[in-house]
Amino acid sequence: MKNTKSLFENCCESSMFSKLHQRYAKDLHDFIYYKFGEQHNPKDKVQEAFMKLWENCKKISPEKAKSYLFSVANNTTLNVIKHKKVVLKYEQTSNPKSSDHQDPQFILEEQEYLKKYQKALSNLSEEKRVTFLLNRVEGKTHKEIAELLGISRKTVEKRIYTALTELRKEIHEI
Amino acid sequence: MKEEKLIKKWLNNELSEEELKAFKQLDAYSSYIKLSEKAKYFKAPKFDKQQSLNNIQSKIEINQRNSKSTKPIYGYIAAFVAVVIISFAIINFTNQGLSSYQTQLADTENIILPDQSQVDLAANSTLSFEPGTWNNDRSLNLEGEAYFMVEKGEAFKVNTSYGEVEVLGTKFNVKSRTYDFEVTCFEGSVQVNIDEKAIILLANDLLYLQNGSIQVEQVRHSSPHWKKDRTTLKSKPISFVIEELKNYYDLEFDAAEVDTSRLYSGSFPHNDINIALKSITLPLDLTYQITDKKVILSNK
Repeated sequence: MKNTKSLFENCCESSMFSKLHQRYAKDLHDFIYYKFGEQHNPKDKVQEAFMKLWENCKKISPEKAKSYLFSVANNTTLNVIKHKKVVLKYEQTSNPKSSDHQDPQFILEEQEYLKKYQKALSNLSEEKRVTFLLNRVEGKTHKEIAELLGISRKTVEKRIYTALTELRKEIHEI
Repeated sequence: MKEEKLIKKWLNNELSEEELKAFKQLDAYSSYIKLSEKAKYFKAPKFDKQQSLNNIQSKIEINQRNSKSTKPIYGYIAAFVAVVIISFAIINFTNQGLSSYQTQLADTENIILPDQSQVDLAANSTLSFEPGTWNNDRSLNLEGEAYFMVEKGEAFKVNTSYGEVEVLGTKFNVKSRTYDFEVTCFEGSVQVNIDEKAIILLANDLLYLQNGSIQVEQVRHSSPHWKKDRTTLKSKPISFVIEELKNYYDLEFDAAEVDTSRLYSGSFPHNDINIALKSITLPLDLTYQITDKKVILSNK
C-alpha cells in the first residue's frame, strides 16, 4: 500500500503517462504544426517529446509535464533547421457538396484569396501565427492558450489581435 | 481605441448583444469575418492520438528491451494494478474518536483538517475522519458533496459508496449522492478508484456516471458551481433534478404527472425557489405550483 505515496509524484506510472498523452498530445501537435509547418514532421516531434518525458519521468511531476513537453518540442524543433519560411497548406476548395454549379470566377477569386492568406500567414511571426490559429481554427479561448503556452492572457489577446490586423492589412491591401 | 476593444472581445466570444451590433457597424467587419472563416482552411492535419500513443509505447518497449537493465516496465504496471485492486477501503463507522461534520439543507460548512487541508462541505452532506491517526492516514468518508483543497503530503483519500478518490495535493470536488456521483479536478491530479478501475483526472477533468458507465470530459469552470450557490446539471433526469433541489430547499415535490425520466440540462440558484423552478420548468415546457410546503410539477 505504501506505493500509493508515489502515485502522482512523477510521470512514471504508465496510466499517468497515457493520461498526459491523451490530454496534451494533440495540442502539442497543433502547436508544432502552426509554428513550424510540416517541414519538421509534427507527429515525430510529439513522439520525441513524450519519449523524453518518459526517460526523465522520475524528475517531472505531472503538474510540470505540460510545460516540459512544450519546451522540449520547441527546442528540438529549433535545433533541426534554423528558419526556412513556414508555409502552411490549405485545404483545396473544390468540395463536391457545394461546388456543383459554382461560378468559375468565384472559385478563382477564392483561390487568389487563399494564396494571399497563405503568404500573409507565413509573414506573421511564429508566436502570432500560433496563437491566432489556435484561437480561430482550434477554437481555444484566450485562457486556454495562455495556459498551454505559459504566457499571460493579455499577451495572448494582444498577439491574436495584432495577427488579425496584420493579416487584414496584407490581404485586403489597406 | 474602442474598435480595438470590440475586436478583442469578439476574438474571445465575449461580445454582448449591444457590442455585437457595434462590431457589425465597423467598416472592416466583413473583412474580419472573412479572415476568421478562411483561417479554417489552414487547419492542422488530423492527429490520431491512439496511434501516436501506440507508437510511443512500442518504442519505449524496444528501448527497454535493448537497455542492459532488464526491469520490464510491465512489472511496474502489474505492481501498480495490484495496488489499485487492493486499495478499496472499508469504512468502519463504529470507530472511536471519529470526528463527524454534517450540514443541513441549504447549509454549508468550512472544515480545516489537522494538516491545514480544507474542506468546504455542501448542503445536506456528511464528512467524517479520525483526527488521532490523521497524520499517518489522510483518509475521510463522504456522503454528499464537498470541495477539497489538499495540502501536499502523503496520499489523501476520500471514501464514498461509489469508490475512492485519491490525491496528493490538489483541488477537487466530489459529489457522492445516493442518486449521482461526480468528481471534478480543478488543480493537480486525482485518481478515482471505481469498479476495479483506476482513472486519472487532470485539472478541468470531470468524471461522471452515465447509465452506470464511467465518462470523463473537460470543463471550463474553475471552482464548483455550488460554491457560487448554483447547481449545474448536464443531461440529468428530472428525478435527479428534484433530489438535487431538495438539498437546498425544504420542500416536497409532486411530479406524478410528468415523465421524470426526461433529461434536463441547465443550472438553478440555491437562494430563490421561484427562479430555480423557472430555470427548470421553462426549458422542459412544464409548469409548477407552490402550495404550502409542496411543489407540484405539471405539463403545460
